[in-house]
Amino acid sequence: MEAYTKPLPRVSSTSKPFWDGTKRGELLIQRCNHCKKVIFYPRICCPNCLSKDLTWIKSSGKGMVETFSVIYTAPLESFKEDVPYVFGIIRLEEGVNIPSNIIGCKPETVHIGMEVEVTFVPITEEFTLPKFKPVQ
Amino acid sequence: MMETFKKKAAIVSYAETKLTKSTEKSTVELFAEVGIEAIQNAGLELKDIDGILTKRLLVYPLPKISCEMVADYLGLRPTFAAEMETGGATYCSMVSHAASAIMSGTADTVLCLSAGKFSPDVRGEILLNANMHSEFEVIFGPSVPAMNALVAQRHMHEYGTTKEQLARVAVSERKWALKNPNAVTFGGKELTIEDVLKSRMIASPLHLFECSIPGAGAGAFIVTSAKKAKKITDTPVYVLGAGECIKYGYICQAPSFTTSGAVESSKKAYQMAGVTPKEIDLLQVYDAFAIHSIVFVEDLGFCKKGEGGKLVEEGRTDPGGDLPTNTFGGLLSFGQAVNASGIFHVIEGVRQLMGKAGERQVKHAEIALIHGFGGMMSSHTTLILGR
Repeated sequence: MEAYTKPLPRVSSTSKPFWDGTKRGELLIQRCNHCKKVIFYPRICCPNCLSKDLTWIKSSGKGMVETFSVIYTAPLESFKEDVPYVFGIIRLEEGVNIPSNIIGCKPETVHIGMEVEVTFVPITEEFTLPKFKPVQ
Repeated sequence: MMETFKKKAAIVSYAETKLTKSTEKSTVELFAEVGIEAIQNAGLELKDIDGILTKRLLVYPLPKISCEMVADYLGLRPTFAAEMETGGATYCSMVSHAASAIMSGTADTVLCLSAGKFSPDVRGEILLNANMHSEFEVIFGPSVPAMNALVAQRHMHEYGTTKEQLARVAVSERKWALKNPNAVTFGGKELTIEDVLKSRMIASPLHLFECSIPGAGAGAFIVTSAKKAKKITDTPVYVLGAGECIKYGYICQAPSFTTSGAVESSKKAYQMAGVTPKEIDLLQVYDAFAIHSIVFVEDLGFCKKGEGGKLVEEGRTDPGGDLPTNTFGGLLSFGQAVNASGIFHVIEGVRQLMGKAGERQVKHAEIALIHGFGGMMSSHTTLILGR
C-alpha cells in the first residue's frame, strides 16, 4: 500500500469498536438501551437522554443521499489528486446521518435521494473507511 | 421573565481597517491599530477601559491568549476579560456579553476587537478541525465551501431555489461594496448573474464568486453604559436585544440542513427588543457563502421559508431595496479576514445607525438586525441595535 498522507481518524476508546468493525466489513452504530435512540457518532452517552447504557448494532449499510457537494478545489494538498470527488451526508436506514464520500459513479450523477450502500475502503493497515456507492 | 437590554448599554465608538488581500503587519499590530482608534474616537483614555473581549486566533502554532496579548500591547489593565470563540457569531455575542456585564456592574466600558489575516500560519487542517469533526468528517476531505454547499444543495432541492438566485446574492453584495472604500473590491465593477455562474466551480453548487474573498483586516468597537454613552457621543447605538443558539456542533448532526438556529436566536432577540421583523430598517448577516443570506432572510422572519431566493432576486436586499442587507458589501465583496470576518457586520450596523455610512447610508435607519453564525451553521447570535 502507498504511504497514506490524508488525515487519519483520531480514535478514542469509545469509538474503537467502530473502526474495528469497518476493518471486518461491518458498519457499527450505537443504540441507547434506555430511550432506543440510534446514535452516530460514537459517544459515551445518549444525546437524547444522557443514559450511558448503549449497545453497538450492525447497520444494514444502506441509505439515501441527504445532501452532497462535488469538490473541485481540495482543502488539503493530500486530496488534490482526487478532484473532483463527492462529499455527502447519507441517511442510513436506521435513521442517523453519516458523513462520507460517494464513490463508484461519476460525480455529476450523484443526486439527493439517491440510494447508496456502504463499501469498505482500506487506507492503511490499521484503518478501513466506510464509503458509499450507488445501489446496483 | 427575561431581563431586557433595552437602552441600558450602548456602542459609542468603532474602528476598522481597510480589507486588503494581504498585509505586512502582524496580527497584534492590526489589533492595536483598531483598538487605539476606537478609544481615541470615543475621546477616552486607557484608564476608562475596564473590560476587553477578543476573538481567538486560528493560527499555528497556537498563539498567546489574545485578550492578554492585546491588553499587554496597549497597556490596558482590564478587570473584565475573555477570549471568545463561536466563529462568525462571536462579534454579536461580544456585544451581548459586554452589555450583560455592564448591566450587572461587572464592567463599565468594554473594548471588543478582532484581527485576522490569511497567511502561512493559517493552515488548512486547523480550519478544518476547528469547524468539523476530526474523526468522522475531516477524513473524507470536505472543504469549508463544500460543508456550506451541503446547505445550498439541499435548499435548492427542498424549495426550488435556483442557481441564478444564489448568484444574485453576490450581485447584490457587490453593488454595496462599490460604495465602500474599505472593501477589497472597491473600485471594481458590478457583477452580473452570468459573471457569477461563469466563475469556476469550487464545491457544487457554489462558484468562486459565491465564496467570500480571503484577506486581512481588523475591527473594534466600544460598549459602555447608557449613562456614560450620552457623555461620549450624540449618536449612541443602544443594545435592544440579543439571542444565541448552538443548534449542533457538527453539520452531520444537523436536524435540518436548511432551517438554522437563527430561528431560535432571533426569536429571543426580537422578544427582548420588543420588535418584529417589520420594524427592522437594515440587516447585516454573516455570509461566508452566497446561500447564507437566503437562509437568514427566511429564518430571521423577513419572508416565508423557501422564499429567500425570490426576495433577493427581486432586488430587495440591494441599494434602494426595502431590506438593505450587508450594506458594507458582505464577506463576498467586502472580503473576509479569518478571525475578524464578522466584526465588520456589527460595525456597519452601528455606522448606519449613527448616520455615518456616507454614499451607502440607509435612510431613516432606526433599528438594525445583525446576525452572526459560527462553525458550519452551528452557533447563532442575533443582535438588535437601535438609535
